[in-house]
Amino acid sequence: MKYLSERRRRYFARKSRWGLLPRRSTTGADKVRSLALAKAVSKRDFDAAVELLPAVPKRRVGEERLIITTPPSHLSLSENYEETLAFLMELRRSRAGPKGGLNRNVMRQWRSHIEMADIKQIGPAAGLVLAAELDSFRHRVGRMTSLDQTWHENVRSFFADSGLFELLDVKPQSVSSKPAVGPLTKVLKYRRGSTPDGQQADLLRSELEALCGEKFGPRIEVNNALCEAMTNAHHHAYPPDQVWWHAPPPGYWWSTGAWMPETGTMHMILYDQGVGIPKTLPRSSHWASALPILNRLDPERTDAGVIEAALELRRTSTHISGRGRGLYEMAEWIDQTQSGFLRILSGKGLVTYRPGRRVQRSNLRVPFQGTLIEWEINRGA
Amino acid sequence: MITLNLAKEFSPYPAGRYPDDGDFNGQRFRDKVLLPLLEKARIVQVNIDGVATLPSSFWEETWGGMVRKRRIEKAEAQSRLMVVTSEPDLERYVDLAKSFLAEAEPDSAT
Repeated sequence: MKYLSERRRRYFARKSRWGLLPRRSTTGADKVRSLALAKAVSKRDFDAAVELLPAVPKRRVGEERLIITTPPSHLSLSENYEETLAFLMELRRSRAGPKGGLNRNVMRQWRSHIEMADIKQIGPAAGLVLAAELDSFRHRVGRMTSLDQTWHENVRSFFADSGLFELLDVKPQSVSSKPAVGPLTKVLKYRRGSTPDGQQADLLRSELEALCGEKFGPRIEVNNALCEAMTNAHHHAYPPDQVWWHAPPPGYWWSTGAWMPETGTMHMILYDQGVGIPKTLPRSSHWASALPILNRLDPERTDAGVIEAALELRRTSTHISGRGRGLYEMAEWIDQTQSGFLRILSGKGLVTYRPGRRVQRSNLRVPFQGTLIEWEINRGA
Repeated sequence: MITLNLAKEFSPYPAGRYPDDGDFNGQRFRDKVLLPLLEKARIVQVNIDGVATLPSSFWEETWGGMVRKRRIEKAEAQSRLMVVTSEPDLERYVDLAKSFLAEAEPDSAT
């Protein structure tokens, strides 16, 4: 009894200091408590971000143990960022179960339904993030079905073209589909991986060039840019000591290419669900080299400033043993070819890199969940 | 002198730095392919014709890692290892290999 009460006293003493001075865990019980605290902090940050976003229409049908979520009609990260992000975060929350917990058994008792029929249009980047969320959801839950016969033709053809049905292992219900309406977007089949894959990078680039009949950029440099984005996702996006309040992400990157014939715009996109560049750079060995650059570029050290500092790292530092070139290499070919741009969305930061090392950065109100890297080239209509 | 064709004898799609980055990573190329060849010949020439990828994480780990991990002295590596290509698009990777070798410093921990 004396032992228990002593432990209890220590527990309350430590609890009173939580959040001020985390202590090194020494016992199994301490570790469990530290983990619970880290999860609570992570969930608090997530909930605070959700509070800033428009509410996602959602209802529960208790008898059927069903949660119905209604997405926005236009899923786009460039044109409808906050509504799209709110919906994507709701999907992520649903991975954790109806009460936001992690109990897999509780999750299995409830079913989630997304009113996909309400979506009229999906942008390629938002589509990739949606695919990643659904893919992770499927990993967690196991099985998904679709009512695609009720969907808008744009969404159905988007799912068919991007190979989302196959990626999610879902059998489409409708055999015939009306052609898509509005501005045409041709999308390559989504692919996923966990390690850098040069062959996939080369295939993605060559399939995109075949789709639009135009060269996207110099072969080796474009492939390298994709490989480096995959390598960064593998090395940095999912730190092993990261505590996730929801089910841990499966640790993949997802990528695709898209072609909009009416505007002559080509996209290559890579997404990961990791913690984001603004969180990983300060923990990396390059932080000491990046800090002076960051202080010069953005003394307030915003997320966009951190991303720009990571881009600048290699160009301006000559003493970092050749490492830390990853982000710089993603932008390098944009400078060589003097066309297109690279856009990086990570944390609250949005950075666009244009030829001539013109960098535009902005900070968003709500942090993006993961890192999205997008190269865009406009060849004209 | 031994000439090794990177694309044909290792992979046309090399990528990644460490073994957990995939089969065709820089550490494996350096330690399992390149260094054993240095034991067989005075000069080893790496021909990069035909590669589809040569990302800096792979290329730096191969050349910079050689010195950083103290596999060979920098001066010796610079005199015994050569990168060649007949493709104009790949010429910059010859220079890049040289600069990775020149910039690398041995790790103090290893």
